[in-house]
Amino acid sequence: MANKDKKSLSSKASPGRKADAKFDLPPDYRHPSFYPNGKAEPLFNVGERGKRMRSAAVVVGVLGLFGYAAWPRTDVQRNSYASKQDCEHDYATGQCTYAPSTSTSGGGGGGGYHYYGPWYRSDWRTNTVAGDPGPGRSYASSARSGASGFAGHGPTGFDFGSRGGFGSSGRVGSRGG
Amino acid sequence: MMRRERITPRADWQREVESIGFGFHTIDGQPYWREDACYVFDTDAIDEVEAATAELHGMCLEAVDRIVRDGRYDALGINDDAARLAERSWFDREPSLYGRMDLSWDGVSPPKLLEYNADTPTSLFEASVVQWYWLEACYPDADQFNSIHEKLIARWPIVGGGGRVHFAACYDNPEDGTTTDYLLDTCLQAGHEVQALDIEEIGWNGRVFIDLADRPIDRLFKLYPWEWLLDEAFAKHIAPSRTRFIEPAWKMLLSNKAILPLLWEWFPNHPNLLPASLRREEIAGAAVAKPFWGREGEGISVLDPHQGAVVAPHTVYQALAPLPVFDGRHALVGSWIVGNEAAGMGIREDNDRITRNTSCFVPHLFR
Repeated sequence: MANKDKKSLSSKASPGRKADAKFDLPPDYRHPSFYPNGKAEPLFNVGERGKRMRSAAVVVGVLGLFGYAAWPRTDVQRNSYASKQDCEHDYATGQCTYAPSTSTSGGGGGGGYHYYGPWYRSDWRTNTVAGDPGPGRSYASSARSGASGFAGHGPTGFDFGSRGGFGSSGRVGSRGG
Repeated sequence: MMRRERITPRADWQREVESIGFGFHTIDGQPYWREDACYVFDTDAIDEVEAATAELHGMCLEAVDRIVRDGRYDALGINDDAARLAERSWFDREPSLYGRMDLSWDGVSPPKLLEYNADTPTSLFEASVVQWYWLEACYPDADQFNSIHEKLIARWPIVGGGGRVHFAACYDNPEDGTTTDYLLDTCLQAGHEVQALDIEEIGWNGRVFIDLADRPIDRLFKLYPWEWLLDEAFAKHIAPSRTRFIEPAWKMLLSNKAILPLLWEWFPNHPNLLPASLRREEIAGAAVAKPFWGREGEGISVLDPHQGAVVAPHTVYQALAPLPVFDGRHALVGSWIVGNEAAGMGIREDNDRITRNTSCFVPHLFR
């Protein structure tokens, strides 16, 4: 980009050359972000930091990925477990995390660190959504059988949260200015 | 000096601008990006708009400080919760990334501030990147008031903190998506980890805002107006969360058009300001009525000298400063601030005297 601040040094002092940020760069230099005629670039080329990080063409591709997302206000929750084994009994390996409790109410199994399953919709009983991880084997099983507890496994508590609490105004008006 | 020159567009200009990621050059069959004309300035004119922008920015910061210290929130129509957020962010010195001042300017008279898009300005990508490539392709010996890109990258280490920066917008809007992804790109080049998500995908886990991978959102760039955030279900979580927002909450004081009467009150007769008031009768002659929170020309009406106040709450009246007309086109100068510096300029023009989101973007150069 031209550095307007340096324009006082421009062609008056050095005819034919523009005094801007690229002054000492090679003639074939292009903008670090965007190579209009260049080959396709990975989204996040962190291995070549300092060079171009992402092509503008890919920016458009990213737009497509995020387009038309909609997340109506949804309450979500996750199970806490006494051990990693208990968590992985209910969910697949890799779905369990060891993290501090985030719940301020609702019995996340007390403060401190716990093993947690993934977040899932609190209305999982009545609203099955593709991709939602659900309540885990033990909880689902006890809910079906009407049992009040878990035999050896199962969650010790829940953290509660929600998504979709922002964005409602954006569906009815323009954002930018 | 400022003039509009009719020029021949590049033979395949649509493909040229698409190749650099500009997907909304045509809207509803009408060109948004126009390169059958350009605006030409001399260096003195560029010096003037740069100095005026810096001066206005300084006055705006002074105005924020006075509002916060004097508690003038009623004048802006914002409630206690919003005021507390703005106040805290100001006293915490939360840094700003960018903003765009819309100016009425003919290249000769002093530029006049029409409004400050301080919270969610768009048209950034076309100002920073698209018109720059046009310049390189068409007028490589000319210059352009445009160091937006470099200044954004230089600014991110100050506003981005030490970890991952999240970017949230309404991604179903191409203009918002492009603006946000462009800023994400500059953040990435500044060395940060980044994560994009739709504004609706933000979660609250009881203590912190989280992304779709349940990671805490420490820094959130949001192309989403503060007044909307504060009117939605998660508003109550903003204050207790640890999230730092970009733009910070104090910017809502400047994006509110009720800042215009306060600026006029504190800097009366400043050459870069227009008389402004909450009362129509205090503005002599023709005036423009603007809603406090309107965007993209929404709700703006021009009042003839004999016309009285509009029947609408939260309305600002500003003396009319007609946009200069070139070839029948009303030209509006958008002057960009990055951090605390004037960084560049973009020009939009329209057949109508009110600039809207459908107005055309026309590149500029100076010699």
